[in-house]
Amino acid sequence: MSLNEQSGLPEEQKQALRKAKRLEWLSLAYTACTVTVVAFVLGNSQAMKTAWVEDILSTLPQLAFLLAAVFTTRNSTLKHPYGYHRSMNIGHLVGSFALIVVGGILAFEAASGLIKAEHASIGTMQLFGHTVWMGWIMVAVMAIIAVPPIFLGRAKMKVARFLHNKLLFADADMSKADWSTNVGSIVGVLGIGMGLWWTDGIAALFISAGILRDGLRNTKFAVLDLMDESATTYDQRKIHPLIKELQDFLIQVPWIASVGIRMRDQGHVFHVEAFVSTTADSVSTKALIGLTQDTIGLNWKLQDVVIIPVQDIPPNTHARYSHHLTEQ
Amino acid sequence: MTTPARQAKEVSIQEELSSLQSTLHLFRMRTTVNARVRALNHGRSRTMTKSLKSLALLIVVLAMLTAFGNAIPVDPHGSLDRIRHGELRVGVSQNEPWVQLHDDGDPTGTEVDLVIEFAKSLGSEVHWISGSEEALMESMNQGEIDLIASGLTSKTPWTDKAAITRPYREWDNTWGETEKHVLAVPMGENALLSELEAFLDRSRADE
Repeated sequence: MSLNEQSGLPEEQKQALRKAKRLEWLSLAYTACTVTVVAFVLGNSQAMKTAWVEDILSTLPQLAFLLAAVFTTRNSTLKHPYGYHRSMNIGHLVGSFALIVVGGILAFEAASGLIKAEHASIGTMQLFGHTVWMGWIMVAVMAIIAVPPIFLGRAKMKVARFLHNKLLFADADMSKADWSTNVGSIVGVLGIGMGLWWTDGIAALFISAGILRDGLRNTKFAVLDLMDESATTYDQRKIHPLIKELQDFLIQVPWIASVGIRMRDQGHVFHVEAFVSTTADSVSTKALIGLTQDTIGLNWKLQDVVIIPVQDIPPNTHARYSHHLTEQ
Repeated sequence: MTTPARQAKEVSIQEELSSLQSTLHLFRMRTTVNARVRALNHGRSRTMTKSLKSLALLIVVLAMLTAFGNAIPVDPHGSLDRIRHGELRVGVSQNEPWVQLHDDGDPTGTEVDLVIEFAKSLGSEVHWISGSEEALMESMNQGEIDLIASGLTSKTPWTDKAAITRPYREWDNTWGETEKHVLAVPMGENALLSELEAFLDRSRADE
């Protein structure tokens, strides 16, 4: 059959990818600033420490994305006939597994701190000749740095949708939810200020649970894609609509009686095997080549499409049977 | 039959009627507008509840701040309140010239002087307890000591047993290294820690 693609992505998507890269660099630069600033006001509050580590961890998907983006647009080769799109999934898996590990460690630390009734100490610092309780500075810093990631997250979300990039989507999702980490650490610090030592541990537990949840969710998604699950939407919520679109398109071809589709997510693009059965005795090569070309033309995500004439549609494919056939 | 008075009355009734009608019209318009606004709001209701939630959170935080703002930080075990106009229990360990113990009478030394000044600022009396640094740290964890003065430096390994103050003085030791001297108070007694650090800042400014 014919493979249209040589380069990884069409021009419009390449542009979006460039935009995504810019956004990720921006996120990295921003996080580098916040991590440095927060390091100065860390104290020995577990909640602050957890929020700080979370900040550092939030760069994992960004780094994974930028690293994978180097490979993802590479052309397919004899050695890598499916191209390099999967590098995104690998980045996704590695990044999210790291979240599980570190989230687990932090949750354990928070829990053991609570059990041992560890009291966090937050002293003062000298600011323009005044002795100021450091908790106030922590609260101010955490409140200020909570805002920009919300906007960054939204911008990334938009591009992720357009690009059908699950790693970018996961990153955007985490950026958008990042403020809850900051609110958590603020509550922890204010609690310490009020003499309620346990709010620190509870807040740390809450934040690390968030990290753990992100890690588990994304590891699951990355593994599902690497296990060649049927292609889903970028948010993994439902079966990708292109499957139905492709069924509709193929079933209206006069010589096709039934269709079975296997569609797997390669990263940005899908790899499609369409099994078709026919009522005719023979199918012309010309018709098959033409149909493949038309199918590829349906959507930019359909670059690697093979159409295979078969006697019976294989099981566990997204099957569709022609109406006039069932009526016969 | 139509007297001017009656005519006038009819006119006034008509005017009243028309004004009533226009009020009714206005009322109707307003209800439709209200309905439309409501329909619009319904679409926004999800974002509305979200922002309402954040607003509620903000209010809670602000309420917390106004309620405790002046008192923050508070000691979980109320150390500072107990010490003020009461007794400051200070753990000391031999470490000249910072702390020198005597068989009879109170200890002396630069750090001892500093602690006495701190106690004065709180209007409290110092009760000295001597022992090894390790024993003092354990006593402090048990809540029997409020402050440890034993010539500790910022390099102290006791950071997870005690709250260490910011360095109050730098000193070049016999090996030519700069030592940053600190005091220690119980973990998490943040009002005491903050009061002590503020005192150290003041006494440093006085020098």
